[in-house]
Amino acid sequence: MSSGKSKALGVFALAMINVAAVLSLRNYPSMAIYGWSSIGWYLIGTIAFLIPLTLAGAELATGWPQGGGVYAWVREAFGEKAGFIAVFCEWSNNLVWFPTVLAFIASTFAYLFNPELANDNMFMFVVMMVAFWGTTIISLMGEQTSSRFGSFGVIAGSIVPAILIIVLGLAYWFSGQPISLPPFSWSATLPEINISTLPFIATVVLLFAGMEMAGFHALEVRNPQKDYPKAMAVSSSIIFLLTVIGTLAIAIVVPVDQLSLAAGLMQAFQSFLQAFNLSWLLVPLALLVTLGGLANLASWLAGPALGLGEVAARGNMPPFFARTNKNGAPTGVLILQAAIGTVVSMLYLFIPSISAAYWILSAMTVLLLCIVYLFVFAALIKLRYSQPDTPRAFKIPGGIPGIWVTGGVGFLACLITFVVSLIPPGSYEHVSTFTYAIVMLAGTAILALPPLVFLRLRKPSWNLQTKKEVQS
Amino acid sequence: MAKGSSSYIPMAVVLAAVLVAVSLAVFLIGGPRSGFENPMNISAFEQALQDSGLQTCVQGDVNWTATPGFVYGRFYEISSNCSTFDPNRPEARVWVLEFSNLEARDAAVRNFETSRRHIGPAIAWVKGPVVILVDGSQRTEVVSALREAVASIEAHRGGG
Repeated sequence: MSSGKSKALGVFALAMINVAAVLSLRNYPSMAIYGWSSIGWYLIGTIAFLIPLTLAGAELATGWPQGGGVYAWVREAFGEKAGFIAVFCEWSNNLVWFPTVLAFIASTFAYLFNPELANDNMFMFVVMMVAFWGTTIISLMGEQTSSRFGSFGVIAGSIVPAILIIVLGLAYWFSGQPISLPPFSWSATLPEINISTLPFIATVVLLFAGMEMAGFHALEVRNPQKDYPKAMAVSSSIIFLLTVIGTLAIAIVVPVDQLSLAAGLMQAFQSFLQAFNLSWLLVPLALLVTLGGLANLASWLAGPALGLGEVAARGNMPPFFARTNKNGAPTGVLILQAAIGTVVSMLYLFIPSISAAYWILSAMTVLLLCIVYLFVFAALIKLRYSQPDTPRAFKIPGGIPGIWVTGGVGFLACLITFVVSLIPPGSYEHVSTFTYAIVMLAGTAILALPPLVFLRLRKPSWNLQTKKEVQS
Repeated sequence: MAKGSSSYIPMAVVLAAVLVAVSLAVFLIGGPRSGFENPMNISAFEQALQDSGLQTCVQGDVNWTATPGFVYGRFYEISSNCSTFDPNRPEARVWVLEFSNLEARDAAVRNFETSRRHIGPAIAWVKGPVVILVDGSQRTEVVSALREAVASIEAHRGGG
């Protein structure tokens, strides 16, 4: 999938791909509701998932720096079929998840003109489509252009607003004004884990989903063996610090009763800025957050598409999916993705029964992502046994026990997340847990298993690599 | 692009998979939201709460100024016993929000349900123009009692 031009990505660009995929200001108010215990919840997510995935990504990407990221890693460990299913799960998760990210971008963008527009489905649809197809076009311009856009977007739209919130929060704290949280104690930072809060583990684990995104860009990295570990360390540090401190900044300034994402992110920011008489900053902030949303979208849009393009280039899908343009972008996959995303967005916005059931679909994306990460952590462990001598510039320390602890913790966290995601939320009283779980599993299987159909239909003529070799 | 219908089959498979998953979600688990005309209001919720024996330890107005279509809202920290209430260990945190129109109400629910990939133990009930949200709660028994209280509103009013 490489463009054949000079390698475009260094440590900074790689790190920004991950930060763009993971860091989201949307998490701040919803986590701020948990007050001091948000620290403990974040630590659970960090220890159980962020650190294992960061380490796994660094080892796998430096050992197998081929194109395809997750696909290449899982294929090396478990074969073609597993690699294909893993990357397809990540891609099909996108197809269902895109409308919610797009709706977030559109409703935030509405604040630039009139917040009422966020309730106008036609306005929402137009903005969503401009954002979606615009980001797709940027991805079609190749790694260098999309990386520049992503880096600019994540800095201006996620990192700068996060730092602004943190600085204002610290100023508030040190000004001696009464904070909105109960008095601090170390015990207050400990999360209460019981049967009621268990499903929240799924939430905190998935806050950090996307740390593997840089792996999809392996072919465009200047020096993958050196740059990957550095990029993973930089991105995970930025994500952890900005997420935890940003959440606490919101929590100490905005009373909990004003925090609910039903009002949208900008309402929380409005309450936050009001405390400083800076309400005029809301519109510029909306612009930046929109930009951050676009960077987030671009990162998720490009990564799995590159992985699927790699699958197609190996002859597992028709040549349409392997098609690339002069910039090396997977045109076939990106355009198909945009077309299906458009259909799903229309269903989401214009058909009330689908809109009402959309939570179920987004819960299915959780299961799909869990499958991806279960494969990644299992591959990490397997490859230490099956390919112990493959050089890895970064090796998880501690030898075999180290790999089992890292892979095992990550695997277990994903398994727990998978299981708790089968529990229906409290508002679905009309459905039994069994029915809900069966439908969720069936829906997930339907979204995860098309690779088996493709492999069944596979033809020798689909393999462009063999064709090129024969021709040469 | 490769010629022949077999090239298009995989694309059809992908689209069909997405549409089947959507249909499964909608027809087997999903249900229509409450009609907007359902005569529900915040005082009915407060009455149901009182009848259920749950205690309100903290309450206040929700002062959203930037949310389109938002009319009025109340926030409650609910407990089975306020004398042991710990603000760092909320038992059930509830927002009861009233909206002026169907679009605003549904947009609020959509915001809430899709704000995170997984909403965990959070709950969103929709009753007429009112949205009842439960988030950040840490006690199963209190949330269960709250669920019964909300269901009793329906029973009193005969559905919705």
